[in-house]
Amino acid sequence: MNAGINSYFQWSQVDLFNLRVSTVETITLTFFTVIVVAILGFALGLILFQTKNSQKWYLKLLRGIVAFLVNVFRSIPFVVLIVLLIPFTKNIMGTIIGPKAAIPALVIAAAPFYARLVELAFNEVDLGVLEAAKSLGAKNSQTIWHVLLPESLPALISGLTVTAISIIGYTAMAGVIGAGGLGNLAYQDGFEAGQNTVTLVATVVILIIVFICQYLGDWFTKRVDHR
Amino acid sequence: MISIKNVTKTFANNSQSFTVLNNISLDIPEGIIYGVIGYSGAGKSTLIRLFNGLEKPSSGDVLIDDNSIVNVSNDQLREQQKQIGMVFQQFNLLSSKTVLENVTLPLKLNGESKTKRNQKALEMLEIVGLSDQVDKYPSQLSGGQKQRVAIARALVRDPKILLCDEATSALDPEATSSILDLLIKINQEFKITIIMVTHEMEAIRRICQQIAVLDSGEIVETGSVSQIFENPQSEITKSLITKSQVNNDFDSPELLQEIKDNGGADSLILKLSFPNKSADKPVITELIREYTDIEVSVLGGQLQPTIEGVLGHLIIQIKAPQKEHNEVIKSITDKSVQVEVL
Repeated sequence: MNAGINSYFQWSQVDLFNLRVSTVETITLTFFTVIVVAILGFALGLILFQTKNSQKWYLKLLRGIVAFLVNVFRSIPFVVLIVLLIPFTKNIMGTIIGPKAAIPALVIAAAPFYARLVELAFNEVDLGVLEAAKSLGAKNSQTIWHVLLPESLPALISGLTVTAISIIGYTAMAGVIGAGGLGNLAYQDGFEAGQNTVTLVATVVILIIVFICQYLGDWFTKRVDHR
Repeated sequence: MISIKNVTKTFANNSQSFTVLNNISLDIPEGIIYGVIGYSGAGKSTLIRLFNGLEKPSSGDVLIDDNSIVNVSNDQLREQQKQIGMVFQQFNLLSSKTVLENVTLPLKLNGESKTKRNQKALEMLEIVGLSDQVDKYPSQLSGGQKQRVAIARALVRDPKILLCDEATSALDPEATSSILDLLIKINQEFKITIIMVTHEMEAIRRICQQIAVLDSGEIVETGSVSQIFENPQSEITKSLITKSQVNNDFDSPELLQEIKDNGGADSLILKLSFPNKSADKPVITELIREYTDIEVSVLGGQLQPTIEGVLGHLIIQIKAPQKEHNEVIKSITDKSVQVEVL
């Protein structure tokens, strides 16, 4: 076996303490981002869905603005977005280094993505069921809460799972630029220090997190799906 | 009384507009089962949605007990909608909710307590015969059972009116039959006015007392079920009736022609329609006793139960000297049986 491959299996390079700190950072960062993205994405998706066939000019305008922002921020490459947002981040977070500094960019990148998935999930809801709610004299808010939300829940959860996995990917990227976590570990302690084993271990841990996330998402989706 | 007054409904898209309902007026007495029949595209679905405000007329008015549901605020309309239940062709149940949760939904919208909701919903599920299915999800039920859940949901707030939009059209014949029986039971026990639209003449015949025939957005004919079935006026009604008779006597005009040709000059083919409640009259026996020199053979016949009684018709071939033909026809007509020479 040549030295190149062997360099991936130098277990002495792995500092378990650092690994643990980085893992916790990645999980915490992902967790909080997912929560904010879920709320914001849901709200934006709901606006997109509710204003779809609106005739009133201000609703059309609102839809236009939301749709435009969603499309723009979904299209900017994440690395570019982080750099672009540095002044903004510094303003609202007070720092441009560490896990906290990554949150604005993560949210701004992932929320529009989830908003589109939310809109799709709502579009999948049977129009007949919504009509039935209307025939029962349901208010708009009641229809959303008692019909739209439960009927689209499986798609909302599986969409959030996909989004969460993207966010894990983004946190790693943010880590390279100084946000900490497993991405940072893989780059700084791994690549920069010439310790390939550290990079490999960080990769494996990220994969495990992704798999767990996918499993949980599938499990919840299955539980609420009675179609 | 439920009334539609001079309603026109027009849908417009960018380039053109379609008139779906054209100056329609209807009066539906309280407590009956009223059927609106027409081919698809006639405007039935739009028409039935006028009664609960799901569609607003472009002009005209819709009155329920003299209260307009057109020129009212959204809040007032919602209050009215609570008096009107609706069931749909595709059932439109929430797939994410159990049978019980589906039925309690309307009460939840009213803000009723959970105990009250469940009690009332279980009562309704008992009536539709699904007491043993309360914790199942709609996907675990058959089509007929789903429609029963939908009916329970529509009735759980004790409405005055039940609207049925092609309620049996997605069901197999057996389920259709049991749902129609259920609708009759609901109408009779709870005195709920039922308005149903459908393209199935069979369903209308089984349960309706009065009928309107809708064609291209216009009412072409109204009347009691026996009037319409025994004496249809418009071509569209005749065609709907003919199509509904599964074992239709002469589906093929060629067959009829063949029998006519073989019969010769003495042959006379008649369609006898028996008016309400007289389908069991011994008309043929009387005829043969009266005219001993004629031969009668039965070519086909049908009995159709309706809510008002049995409708029957018979197709017979008579062999008699040609000069007696008119006399024979008159003799049958005198027995208050309608005669049509085929």
